[in-house]
Amino acid sequence: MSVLYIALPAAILLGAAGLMGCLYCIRSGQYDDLESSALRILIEDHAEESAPSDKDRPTTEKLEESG
Amino acid sequence: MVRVDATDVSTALKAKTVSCSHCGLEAAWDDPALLTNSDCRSLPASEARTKESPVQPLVFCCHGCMGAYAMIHELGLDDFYTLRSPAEVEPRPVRGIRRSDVLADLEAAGIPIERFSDGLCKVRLSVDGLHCAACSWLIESMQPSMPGVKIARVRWSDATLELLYDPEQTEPLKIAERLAKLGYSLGPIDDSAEDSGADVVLRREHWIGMATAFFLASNAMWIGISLYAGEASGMASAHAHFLRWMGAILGLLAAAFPGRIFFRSAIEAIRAGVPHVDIPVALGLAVGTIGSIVGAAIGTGDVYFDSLASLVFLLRVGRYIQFRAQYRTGLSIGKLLRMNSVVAHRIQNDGSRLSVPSYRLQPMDLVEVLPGQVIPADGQITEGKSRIQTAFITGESLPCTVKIGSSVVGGSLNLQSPITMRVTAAGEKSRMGRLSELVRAATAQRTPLIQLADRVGGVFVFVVLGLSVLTFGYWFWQSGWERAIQHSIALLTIACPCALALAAPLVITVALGRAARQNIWIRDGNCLERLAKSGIMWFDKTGTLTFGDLRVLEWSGSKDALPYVAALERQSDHPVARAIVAYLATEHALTTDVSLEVRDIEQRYGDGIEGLVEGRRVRLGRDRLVSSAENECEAKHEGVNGPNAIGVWIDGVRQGEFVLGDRSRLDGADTLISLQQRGWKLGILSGDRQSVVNALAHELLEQGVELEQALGDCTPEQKLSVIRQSQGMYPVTVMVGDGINDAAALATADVGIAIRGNGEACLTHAPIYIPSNQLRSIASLMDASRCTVSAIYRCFAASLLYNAITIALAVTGFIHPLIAALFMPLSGLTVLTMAMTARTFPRLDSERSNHGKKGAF
Repeated sequence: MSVLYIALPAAILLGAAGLMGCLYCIRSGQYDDLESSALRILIEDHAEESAPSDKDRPTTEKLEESG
Repeated sequence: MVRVDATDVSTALKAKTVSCSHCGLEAAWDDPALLTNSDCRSLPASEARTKESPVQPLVFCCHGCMGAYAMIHELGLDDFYTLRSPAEVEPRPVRGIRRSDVLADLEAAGIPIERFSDGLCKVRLSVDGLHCAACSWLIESMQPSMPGVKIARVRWSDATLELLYDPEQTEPLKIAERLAKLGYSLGPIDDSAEDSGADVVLRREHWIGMATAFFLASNAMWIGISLYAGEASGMASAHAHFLRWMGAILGLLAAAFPGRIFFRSAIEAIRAGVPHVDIPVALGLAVGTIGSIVGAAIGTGDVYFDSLASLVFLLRVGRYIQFRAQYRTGLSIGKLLRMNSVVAHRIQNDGSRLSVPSYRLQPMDLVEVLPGQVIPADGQITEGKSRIQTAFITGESLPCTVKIGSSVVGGSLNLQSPITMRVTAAGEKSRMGRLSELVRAATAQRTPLIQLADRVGGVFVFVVLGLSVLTFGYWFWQSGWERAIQHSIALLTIACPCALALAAPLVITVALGRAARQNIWIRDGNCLERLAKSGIMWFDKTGTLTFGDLRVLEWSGSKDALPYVAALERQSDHPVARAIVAYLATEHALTTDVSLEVRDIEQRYGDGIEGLVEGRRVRLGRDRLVSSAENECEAKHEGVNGPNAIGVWIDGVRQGEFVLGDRSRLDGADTLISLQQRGWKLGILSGDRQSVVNALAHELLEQGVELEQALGDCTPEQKLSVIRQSQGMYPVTVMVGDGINDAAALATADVGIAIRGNGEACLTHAPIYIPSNQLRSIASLMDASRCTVSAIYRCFAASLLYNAITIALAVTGFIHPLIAALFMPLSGLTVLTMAMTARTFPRLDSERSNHGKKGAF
């Protein structure tokens, strides 16, 4: 049972890592709008046809980082 | 076939917006895509724009409504529109320009743009017309079809659109025009940046607190479970000790990080010497923390850290729910109190015009105001001549003429021709701005009821603290310190005086905001409490009970003089002149196109007008002698007040006279009757002649209004002493009058209601200002006051009841601390809901839709 001394802190640290991830998501604003994202996945992606995909990607990141 | 529509559309010829023929929401008149004729065939664009088209077109707010209408029409179910109750649509301020026009120059409009190194720009704009989540889908689906728009994202929660676009290919104005076709209008985010930024940060903090607390609580709980399990199966004491310490650390972390907001606000409250809700909560947490450390150190008995961590988590959840509710309340109140901003055409140095929001104007800016537009700021006219409608701000019902050099007030409506003005004050510094500022200041005021709530809340905190000590002592003596801690924590958590402190200010603020929407400006929240009782109400006569509109009752004299009179009088803007011109046009068919040459006009204030008409000297003015016709008329035209004779002289020879009078206000009597039914005593205080006042009193009596007293010939000083006297005799004395002549009486009365005059000056004398010139508003004001006060008492009762029950349960040990934490936000939420839904002033449609939009959280 002495494994408890390692296993328990390790489990809590792992959980804490998950918590950090969650906090990062909150801070970066991913939870600010929950309604639109749910709908957004239903939008068919026409963007590739009209705009080159390599230009599309960096701009998406830009929006996410600053939002 | 559909009567509602026809009237809607005809009123819309003046206003640019109408209600949708299907749903009654606001629809754009000038959008040809949403206009059809009565057979649901779309009109050719040319016909849609001419407003005098023979068949009244139908107007829709969106294609969905148009489709629904077409379907109902095809099925022959048109009766639906006549059967259903007519849509309650309030008139909206006319906006000559669309709000998206300011997008032409984002920098001038003060909209922040983020520029990226690859030349792309990002802006966030507010979207009007989002009805459901499908709208955001629709807008986002438009993106591929708009060249240059890289990303369009709707944030539904605050109705904004984030655009990433290439400024070389497109511009926000183009995007706005495109979206306008779908019925969504884009604009700058808000007049002030009060929402958006700060709120998002606070909300994120709440989430971080909840997430951390949840993590700590769930882990502490697992450890707690393993301890209980270990106890049952005989765990080595070293391991149990280790688990206990780990749990204690988690509990401590919970109290130290997510729980620290409670300690912080408790410490602040203690420093400021104010009793606060968080003091008992912080005390409860402190007791729990100490209990958990002691438990870990002793290593016996029950464990507390899991309860402590869960308590923190539940408290944070409760706090978050409260925060959301309060934030939404604050948002809708902010909307209520914020004055509508309009779009102004600023003239740039190079002579070009630029659309900017009115709050961005600076003194010395030159602004062009076209006919039909709202004047965006206070200023002075530098070019042009026009007539403006100032009713909104001054209560003056007749439009007045302005020319170069005249001062104009923001919020008035330009009726006739384009003018250019130099801004002297804009935004919050303008008169409109200061007016709303006065109302806003009133919402922060501590009225007696609020003070009472504060005092009770303060006492309450100490009572709870005392009770918790007693509870602790009793249970310690009865069954040891573990139960003692548990029960006192439950008590400290569940007792919530916050609802008590919250209710009264909230109800009053909501009432003031709704009143302002109805054009009833209240500077002092006390009034609502005072008007809820009843006492005596004094009315001024002229301009309050009787019309300011003069009418010509008759003309005695030869008809030959009339063309000369018409020619001279139409040069003047005096109310008497207007009355005479109107009379001549209707009774003698003398329209203003009489082609007589008029020269050398001289208008003498209070003494008529004189001029040369076709070489003959024509003079109109008041007779020096009280004419016999005046007395005759008084007998002949009963119910007409203050007959005045205006004599006409041509080349010094008297030709005859006009007799003018004003009539009793039509809605006056029924308002007085309804006030009487509410228990008010009524009286008239007038500066007019006693005989005129008597006549009015007599007429009112016939209609069923009993007056306590009808006093005429009153000087302002006499009015004042009457008010003072009645203050000793009646619980409440109200004075209703105009803000100029009755200023002293208005200020002395318990509640002064100014119903005319310059808004801001009125509000300095009288706590209530009704520029709409409608006595009917007073009746609804009385009702609203009663509702407001009873809503406050209801909230008090609900809160006290809640506390009495829960405290009793906690003291007797029936409630576990965790259940207490679950219950805590309940009382606050109940009171918030009760306060927001209290029937005070009727809610307006626009407010309802705003509230609905913010409803999701």
